[in-house]
Amino acid sequence: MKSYKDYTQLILKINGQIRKVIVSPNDTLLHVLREKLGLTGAKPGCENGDCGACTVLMDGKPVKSCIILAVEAEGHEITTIEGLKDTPIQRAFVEESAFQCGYCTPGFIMNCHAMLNTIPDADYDTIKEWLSSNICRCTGYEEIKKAVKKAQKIAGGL
Amino acid sequence: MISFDFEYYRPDSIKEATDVYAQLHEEGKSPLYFSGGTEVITMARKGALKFDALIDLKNIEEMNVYRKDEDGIYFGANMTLNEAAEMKDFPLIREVVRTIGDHTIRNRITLGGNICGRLPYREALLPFLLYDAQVYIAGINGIKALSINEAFNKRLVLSKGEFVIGFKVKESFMDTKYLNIRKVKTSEIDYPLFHIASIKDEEGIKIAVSGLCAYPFRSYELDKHINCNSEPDEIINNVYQFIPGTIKEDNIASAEYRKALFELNLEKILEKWGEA
Repeated sequence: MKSYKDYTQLILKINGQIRKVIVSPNDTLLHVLREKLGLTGAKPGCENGDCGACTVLMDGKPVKSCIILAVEAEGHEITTIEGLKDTPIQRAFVEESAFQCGYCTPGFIMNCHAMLNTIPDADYDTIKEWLSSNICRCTGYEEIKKAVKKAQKIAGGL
Repeated sequence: MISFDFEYYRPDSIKEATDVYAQLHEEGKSPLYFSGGTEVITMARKGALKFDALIDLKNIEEMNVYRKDEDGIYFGANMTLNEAAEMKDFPLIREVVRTIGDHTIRNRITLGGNICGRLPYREALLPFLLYDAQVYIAGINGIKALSINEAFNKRLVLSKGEFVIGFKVKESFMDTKYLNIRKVKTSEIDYPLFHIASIKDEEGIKIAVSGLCAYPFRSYELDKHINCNSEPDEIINNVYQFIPGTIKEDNIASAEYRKALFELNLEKILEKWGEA
């Protein structure tokens, strides 16, 4: 049985790299990514699991890193926005100007990326269901929708 | 980050989990079982929940499986709501769990966590109440199976050190017809004003409700009243004497509004079952 009673060294697999970090059981994954590993792409928003700005992938599935303890991430593959390079959804966000202030963008991109990997031909209802997990306070949803459609075309070679 | 210190344990078996709970309790600490953690972490961060240790149940094999047994279909309590929604055997379970939270958060919320949580809604419970599922509870003395309708009274009644490991539903319910109505104030992603799940089998119409009172419920008296062959108007006029709690009044809706909307939708349910 694994146990952590105080500050301990944790080995995390993040963006394909093994990272060693000293954590306390009460550290959230978001806090550790940003404050201890310098991965500031995932953003603190509501820190309540509502806004989706802190979305990262855990074993390919989108999760909100503000409501996961860092110790829970042990043994799982974590992907943050820093781990994506020139993916179809990133290109599509740029081409469609799918951001205004940009604060929600990493969360949206991580969620869209996971969706496109899981269901490449996601229909309108599926896109709506997945993306309802993220909030854009600039309300730039139309452009984000267009970017998802464009990313589907880019990934499909169209 | 959570503003107080605690210990974290991740047992690999039921016995390890109950043993560490007992040991921590003996040491005068207050341990808490934990799985998806969405509710525990948010409440702890706000200072609404305190504990000295978390016992993370995610590595317990029996809690992570979905399987068809001879006497029914078993849902491990660690199944996330998205995993439960992917199982197509029970369309009502699929439909109900897909309305809880948002898609990303459903990758973490577990069936057991939602049903045993502290929020008043606990909507995942509704189909299990209607299907009179068996709930499997582990404790220091082993595992027991109970009817969920017996084990649930405003909340799932668990003794100190006990936790839910899974639920079993009879296969015969797979084809049972259902109706499911969930009303929210504005956004689809919100707590419900109320949520009515209903099935009809050889015993008649059965309903389970969340959001109307401070806890979800299924009432045998209410089922009996609904099946009494009276006119829908009469059933609705007398319905509140069979509802086991006070109608909720909060910043989302007044009790009067909830009642009016509930009555309208109960009427719809009775009409639809009448046509079926």
